[in-house]
Amino acid sequence: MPAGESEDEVAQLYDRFGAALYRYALMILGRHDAAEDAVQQVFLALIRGGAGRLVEPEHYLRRSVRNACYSMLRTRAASFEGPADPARPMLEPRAGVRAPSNEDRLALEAAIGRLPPEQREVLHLHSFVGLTFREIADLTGDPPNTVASRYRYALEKLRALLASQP
Amino acid sequence: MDDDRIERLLRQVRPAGPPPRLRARIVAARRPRSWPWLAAAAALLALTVWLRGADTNLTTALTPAPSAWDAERIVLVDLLGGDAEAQAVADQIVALNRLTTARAAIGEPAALEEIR
Repeated sequence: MPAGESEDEVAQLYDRFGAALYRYALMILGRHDAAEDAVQQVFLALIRGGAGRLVEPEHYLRRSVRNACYSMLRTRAASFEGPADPARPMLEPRAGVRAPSNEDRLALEAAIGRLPPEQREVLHLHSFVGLTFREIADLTGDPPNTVASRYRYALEKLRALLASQP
Repeated sequence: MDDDRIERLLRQVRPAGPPPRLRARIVAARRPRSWPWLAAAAALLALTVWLRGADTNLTTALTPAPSAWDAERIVLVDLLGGDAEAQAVADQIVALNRLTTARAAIGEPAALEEIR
């Protein structure tokens, strides 16, 4: 692939998938700065490595971002235990639907932040992206039953956390 | 709060999107496009620098090295103080020495009385 085409294609790929990839990374890592690093890392690798023409770019990029996120978690590069930036909320109202109250949004955000990364990931992919448990299993490499259990545990924990909040 | 309400709440929100600077950082990291004329200009510059250096060496090679008498004169001028008078005295001494050397080369004794 000639260098010029590769550079433009990277920009096009970011325009098509960048926002979704960022949201995915944000849910796994729990911090905006870490999510930026993860997504940037993936696209810089794409620029450097010249991956060639991607057959399924969305799947490839999503998997790459996932790998980058868990690599950061393993090396503790993402210190998501630290205080988040209050000026940058983790959740935003979805377009086309009635926005939740600020109180509900903040409560949900705080509760999601206390879930383990694997549960946040499944919650994101199923609730926000709309993937089936089988599709999530294909991405994560886990059995579909494990994925379904993780989602159930996430909801249970959210219920408990939200119930305990004043 | 039951699961239905939680799922209803989840349908009303989504994770926040990326800041604009992320795209800018990724786009800025792209390799610059190659300009053929830039490579040619760089080669021309390198050639010019090399030729300039070669020219300096050539000039140096063509410049004759100072003779032994010149070297002696320079040393004498420096020893005698370096001024105009020292140069005049050094010239006389060098001339005398050259004459002495020349006479010795042909077997004639040096005649200092003739120089004075």
